[in-house]
Amino acid sequence: MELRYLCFGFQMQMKLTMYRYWAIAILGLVWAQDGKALFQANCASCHAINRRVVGPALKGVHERWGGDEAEMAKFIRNSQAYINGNFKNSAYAKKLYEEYNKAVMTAFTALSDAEIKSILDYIKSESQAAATAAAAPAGGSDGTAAAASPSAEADKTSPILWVLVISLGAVSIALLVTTMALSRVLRPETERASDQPALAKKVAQTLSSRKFLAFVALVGLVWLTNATVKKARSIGLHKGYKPIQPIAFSHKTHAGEYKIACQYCHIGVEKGKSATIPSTNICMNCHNYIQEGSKYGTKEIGKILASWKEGKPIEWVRIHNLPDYVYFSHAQHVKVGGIACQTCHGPVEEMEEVYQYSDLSMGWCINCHRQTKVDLTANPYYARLHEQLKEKEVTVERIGGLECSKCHY
Amino acid sequence: MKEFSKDIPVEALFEEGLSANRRDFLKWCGITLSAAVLAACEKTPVKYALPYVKKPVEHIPSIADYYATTYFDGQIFQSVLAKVRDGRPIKIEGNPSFSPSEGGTHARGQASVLSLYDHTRLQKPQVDGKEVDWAVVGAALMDQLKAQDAQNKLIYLITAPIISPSLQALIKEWLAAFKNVRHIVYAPESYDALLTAHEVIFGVRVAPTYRFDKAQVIVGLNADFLGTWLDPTTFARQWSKNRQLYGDNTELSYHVQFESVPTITGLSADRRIALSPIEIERAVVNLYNRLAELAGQSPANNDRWDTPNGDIAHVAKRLWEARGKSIVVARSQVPAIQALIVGINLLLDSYGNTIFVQPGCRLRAEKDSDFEAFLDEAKAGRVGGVVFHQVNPAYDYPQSSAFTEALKAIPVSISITQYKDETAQLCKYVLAEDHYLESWGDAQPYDGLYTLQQPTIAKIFSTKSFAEILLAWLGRNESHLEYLKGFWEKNVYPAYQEALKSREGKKVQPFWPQVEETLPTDTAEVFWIRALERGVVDMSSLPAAQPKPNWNLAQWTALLPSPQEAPPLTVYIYEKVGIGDGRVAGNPWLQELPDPVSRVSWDNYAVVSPVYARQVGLQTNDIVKVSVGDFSVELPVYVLPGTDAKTIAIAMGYGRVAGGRAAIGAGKNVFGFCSKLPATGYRVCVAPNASVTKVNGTYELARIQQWETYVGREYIREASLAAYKKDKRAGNHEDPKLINLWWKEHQKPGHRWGMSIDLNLCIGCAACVVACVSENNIPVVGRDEVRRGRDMHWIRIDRYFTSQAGHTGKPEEFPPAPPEDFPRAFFQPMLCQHCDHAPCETVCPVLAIAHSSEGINQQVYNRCVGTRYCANNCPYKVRRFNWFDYTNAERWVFNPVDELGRMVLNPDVTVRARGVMEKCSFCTQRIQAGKLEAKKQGRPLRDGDIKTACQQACPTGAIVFGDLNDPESLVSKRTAEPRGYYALSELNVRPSIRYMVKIRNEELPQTHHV
Repeated sequence: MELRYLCFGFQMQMKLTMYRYWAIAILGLVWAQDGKALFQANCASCHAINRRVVGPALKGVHERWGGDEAEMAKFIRNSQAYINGNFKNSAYAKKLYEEYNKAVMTAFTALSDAEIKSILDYIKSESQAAATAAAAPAGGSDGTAAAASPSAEADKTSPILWVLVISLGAVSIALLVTTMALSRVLRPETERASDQPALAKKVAQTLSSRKFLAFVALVGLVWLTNATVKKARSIGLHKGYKPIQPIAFSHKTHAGEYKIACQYCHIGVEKGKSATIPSTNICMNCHNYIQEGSKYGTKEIGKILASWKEGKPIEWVRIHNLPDYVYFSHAQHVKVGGIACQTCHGPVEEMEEVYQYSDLSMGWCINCHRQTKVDLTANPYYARLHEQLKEKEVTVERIGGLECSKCHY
Repeated sequence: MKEFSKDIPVEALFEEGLSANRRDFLKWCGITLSAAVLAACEKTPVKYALPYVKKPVEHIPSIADYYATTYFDGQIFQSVLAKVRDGRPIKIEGNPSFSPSEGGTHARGQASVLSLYDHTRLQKPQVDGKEVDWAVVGAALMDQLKAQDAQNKLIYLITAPIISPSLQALIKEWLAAFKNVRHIVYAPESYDALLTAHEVIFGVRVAPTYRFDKAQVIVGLNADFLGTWLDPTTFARQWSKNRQLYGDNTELSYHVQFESVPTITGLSADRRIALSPIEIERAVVNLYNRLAELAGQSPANNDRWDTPNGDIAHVAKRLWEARGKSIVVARSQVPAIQALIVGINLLLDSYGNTIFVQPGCRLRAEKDSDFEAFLDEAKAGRVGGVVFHQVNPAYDYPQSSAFTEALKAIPVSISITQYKDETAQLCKYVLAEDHYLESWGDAQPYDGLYTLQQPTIAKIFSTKSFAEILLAWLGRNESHLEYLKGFWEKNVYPAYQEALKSREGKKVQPFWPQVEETLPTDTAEVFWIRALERGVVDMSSLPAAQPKPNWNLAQWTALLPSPQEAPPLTVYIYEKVGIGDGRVAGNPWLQELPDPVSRVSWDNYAVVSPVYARQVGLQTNDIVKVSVGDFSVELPVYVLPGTDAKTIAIAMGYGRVAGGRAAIGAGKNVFGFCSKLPATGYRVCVAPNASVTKVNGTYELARIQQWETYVGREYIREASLAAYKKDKRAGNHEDPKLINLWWKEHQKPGHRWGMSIDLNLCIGCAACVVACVSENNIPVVGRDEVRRGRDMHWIRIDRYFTSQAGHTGKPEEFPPAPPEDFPRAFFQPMLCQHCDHAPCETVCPVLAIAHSSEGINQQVYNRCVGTRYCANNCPYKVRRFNWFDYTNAERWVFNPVDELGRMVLNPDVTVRARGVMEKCSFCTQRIQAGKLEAKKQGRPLRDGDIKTACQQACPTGAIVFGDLNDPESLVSKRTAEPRGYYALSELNVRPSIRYMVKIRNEELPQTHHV
């Protein structure tokens, strides 16, 4: 998952800044990888490097704080205590707090010193990159972006191949038709006249022959059976279900463009069974300040504000509906299993409107449990099991992942 | 939805339909096909997901929160944790921070959550039966009371014992608003005699605090202290401390019970003697006399009576040998008898060692003569207003017509109640009271031991707590919370600081074992929050000395009943574990809960002994008319071994005509048998000189267990303590080498779940049964279905008697008649044994039962087609079949089938549909949750992380669940004990539940089972 995340981040990084000045960015990435991930997970929903989001742009923050990272760490851990306290930069922090409409920054008490350090390093390198990028003329080329992102290249190959195949096919058909037409034109008039009824007769004979009819019937039967079985198996499954939601909320904008981590809104995903639909107050963390969107203006965001004002919950339409007798736990899969959200939910960050990506059938669950490997050394919980099992590779199935009462009780 | 409301007119269809021709047939086929197609075209319903607007910080949807709170219904006290899932309390657990009971629970505490979602509760205040707004019954009503007061009329407040210190203070304030006002405490099951005895002798009107954990010899006389008497959960916990035979310990306490009707306490005792209630009183006097002789003091009188076996002399000797380590308790409403019990305990040096007047127990405060005085005043027209709270004299006062008459003469009658019960129906003003899970409060069950009560859900109806009503009446403009918090800040917080200070340097010892760290006292706010979180504040102290007793034997001997032979028949009114005095009779879970001793649900009945039944030719289910004086009642007979032959015992709490959905129509009201002691007004529940006549017809009792004995099969094993001391496998035996049908053992890596049930600790209190019902969404099926043997409980507590009479084992002797001689009895919790070689699994044609690698027998509801082969093949009879749509169809009125009622369902357990088999799952949902928590925290699973619902509810710790693959787990250790055996081990089904041999601290007479 780590690797996948990095690749993804890598590619996005290219799009934003690297294609302008990629060499420095790569250098930054080499030693600020952790910082970047931490920044994305903890800071990116309110801060950007170059522009003001909910909080101030972080470019040049080191200069503003006199380069004192210890003071900055104190602020990050508990901004309120810092603002109200008597620290070195308390006056500046207070000014900033008032300037930003007294929006309280979340206290990140759980971040370790090393983690804060790597975030700050990342911000520093990004600030420098941005500064250099501004100084130098816009450089780089599309070619460099593609070369730096092998995964993007791999993704692009397949559609190109398809286009090639299709266009070649079309050309071949066109050529065939032309050849046939030409050969007909080139044949003598008489031949053409006598040829016609004989051909029609032959075709009619073939079509009415018992063998042919039996063949067609057989093919039809096979197709019908196949279609029926397929259709019957999908009864009750709603793959592709894309209901109209009360708010035209775009995951593409939030998760794709702004890269807000899934967990920022779906707070329960690592804790409980339900990933949870974000409560209005989570929306308001940002939309207190961002009250106008690029696509719908104030229309859609206004619905959030109305919900907040009136205290009425937003009635989202449930997309993923499991039967009542299935007890699926997000925490088990995301926190313990380390499964990426996209594995089951598809490329949500590219979805303008979310739809059901997987068919959520029991067969689908079982298949995954049969194939997915479990690393018994990763979690001390499995220590005893690891001792007892002799196999080198253990799947979810091997540790009881197919047993009924793991999901049905 | 109604199931089978009408018969399907099959005959009519055939008469018309059979005359149809081919064309019609095809037409019908076509129509049917198109109808089917149309029906199948129905769109999947759109489901919505509504998030919070402002999510509470501490709550994450789908994760349960636990809030510490307090249950007190006026009788049973419990410090509890309410499990709240997404805003709905769904389960009650014991609060482990409450040191007297350490997390044990009572069946009634467990069931209390169901009443929260009861639509038959009062939903608004009423005046003359019409719903009104609260404003109407606020200050205006207070003005009416004041107007009565101004006319020099008396104002009465009649309540159950008030154990809330903040409420006591508020009541005091409210009383001060009147000139002529009285607050009296009333209880149908009265402890007045006990309180009076201590008041006269020690100068404090309290029930003493009993410490059964410090007693080596325990003698109970009709006091069912493990099931109903005073504070049964605490006593059960304490009792169990000296019943633990593990490892090298070979010492047991010695418990003797004299009783008229078998109770769970008597059946758990080492020696049990059946006596009529009159003989019990005589036994008390004789016990005193014998102990006084041993102590060289003068006896109460010259009576030297004893049972044929010399039990009283034997008990006196054992008690005397264990002076300072013994307890004698009795249920008697006669003050002189209770005084002699105090005298006995004084002779035995119990006060200050096993019984304490300081700190006292605050759970009882009733005074019977106060209520008599109220009736007299009311009849004389001197009472202007009366307020009832948590009392229902119209139902449970013996001369209820006298009460009804008296009430008519009172201009302003107010009842503060959750249900429109019998008394509320007679009152002009009925004020709808909160359920305890909806309101704030506090309690002081024992001196210096405080608990807090907090709301766990917003009020469902327009109801108010008693304190809120008083605040409104007093015109105080503050909320209940503000008042409570203020009270605690002023009183409890400084008192706690004082207590901590006095404990410094071990100057003063805390009275209760300290199970947790002391609370922080930095500020009042910090203290309040932490106290609320824990639910318990312990500032108890062990005083250096108990108050000096003022023991004057002559004062009491004058009041003693003269020694007499027991009359041939005495009616004895007793309490059942589930229903108690009837205040919780509206709860369907408690009605369906079979009485642990008789195993009958939904009714009360006349309990008679097999000897008496044979003499007069009675059988179970015969109807008899029992009469004493003017009062008579017709009841079905239940022939119960172990009942005294001169006693007819009938449970109180039945025959309600109002109040709660399940209360009405269950049994008969027998409070009429209770009577006042001449002159003093003490109410006694013993009516001598009863007559019994057989009435035509029978009434089928809803019995869950039909056999009384275990006919010698060895799923019950017992031994005496002496034998156990010689050989730890006494009463147990090696299983013979058995043939195995399965040639391959399945590997069970990781966890392997198992359970240990110690028959030595199981007292049959049935808290586990209700806990299981609550945890696993088990339906209530009602009396008729129980009669058909279709009860749905996943865990049942079988009760067996031994018999000396024996039978030959011939088929015509089955089922064997109830044994006549005195039996010993056993409680055996029976649930799915999760056999490794489960017979149910092999017979299922659709593989709806599968065995997990963790050793669980998994029932898959969605595969089950209802052949019921598995139930037929289960040797333990623990599988339950859904004969009907119990959870949806309106026919099952006692089930939570409406929208409000369904809120009690546990969302983590599937609600089963009609036609599928179900059974104990070892609380799979809890196993999964426990494992996930360990995985999330990245640590191995710890022993005790996962507790099944039955285990968690058990007050004695008889049930232990855990991982048998973990050699350090408690269940592994108990399984390895030499007392362990498997039920029906001769079948070689390899169960996962290991029982432990029952050891009695008594020589066991030879019994013949077969």
